[in-house]
Amino acid sequence: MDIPRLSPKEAEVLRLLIANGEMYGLQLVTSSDVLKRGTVYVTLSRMAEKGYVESRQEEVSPGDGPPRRLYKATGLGVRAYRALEHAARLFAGGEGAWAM
Amino acid sequence: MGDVNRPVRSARVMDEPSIEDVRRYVMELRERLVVPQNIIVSNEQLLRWIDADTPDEMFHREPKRLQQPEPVRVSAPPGHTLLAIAEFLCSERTFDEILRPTIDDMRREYNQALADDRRAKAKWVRMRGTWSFLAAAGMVAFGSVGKLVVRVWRLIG
Repeated sequence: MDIPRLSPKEAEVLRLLIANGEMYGLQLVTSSDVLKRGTVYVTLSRMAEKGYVESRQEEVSPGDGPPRRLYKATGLGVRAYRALEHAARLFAGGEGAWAM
Repeated sequence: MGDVNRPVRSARVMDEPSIEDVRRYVMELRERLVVPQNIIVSNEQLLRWIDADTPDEMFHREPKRLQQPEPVRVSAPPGHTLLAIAEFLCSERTFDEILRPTIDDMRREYNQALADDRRAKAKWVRMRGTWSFLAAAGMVAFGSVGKLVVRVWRLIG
C-alpha cells in the first residue's frame, strides 16, 4: 500500500477543511498564510484528482458573483492528514518511543 | 416622443382644470420643455400663453438638452480578455476548476472594493488577480508539460 504523501500546501488545505467543514477557494486563501490566490485552485484540483477533497457547486449564488465551488475533505483526505499529523508527532518525540 | 410633444393645452381642454392644476402641470413639464426657438420660457409666460389661447403649435415641445448627462464609461469586467483567451486555449476542466474560479474571486474582491469606494484597492485587486491568473495558468502549463515528459519517458524506458 502506498503511504499518501502530502505537500505543505495540501496539508494546510486539509487542516482548514477538517477544522471548518466546507470552504471555498478564496475563504481558504484568506484563512491561511501559506495558500496563495494563484495556486489554491491548482492545489485543490490536484488534491481532487488524488481523492483528498471533493467539491460541489453552490446551489444559490451569493449575490456578488456566480455560484462558488465548495470543497470538503474526503475520508481519504482526513486519514492522510491524520497520518501526517501522527508521523509529525512521532518524529518530534511527542508520543514516546518509535514502534518498530 | 408622444409625451414630450403633447400640447400643454390638452390638460385645460380635457377637464377644465383650475389655474393651480395647470400650474402644477407646467411645473411637471417645465424641466424638459423649450419653445420652438429653443428659448426657455418662464412658468408665467407659459400660463399667459395658455390664457391667451395660443395656438397648439406653440406648445409642441422638444426635449430640453441644456444639460448633458455625464458620460458613462462601459467597460468589460476585469479578467474578461484573460478568460476569453484561456477558454480558447485550455481544456474545459482546467478552465472550470482552476482559471475561472481565480477570476471569479478577483471580481468578487474588485466589486467589494468598488462598493466600498476604495478605488486604489480595486486597482490593486485587479493587478493581483491578473498576476494570480497568470501564475495559475503557468502552473497548469508547467504541470501539463511535466506530465507529457513523464509519459514520453515511460514510453521510451
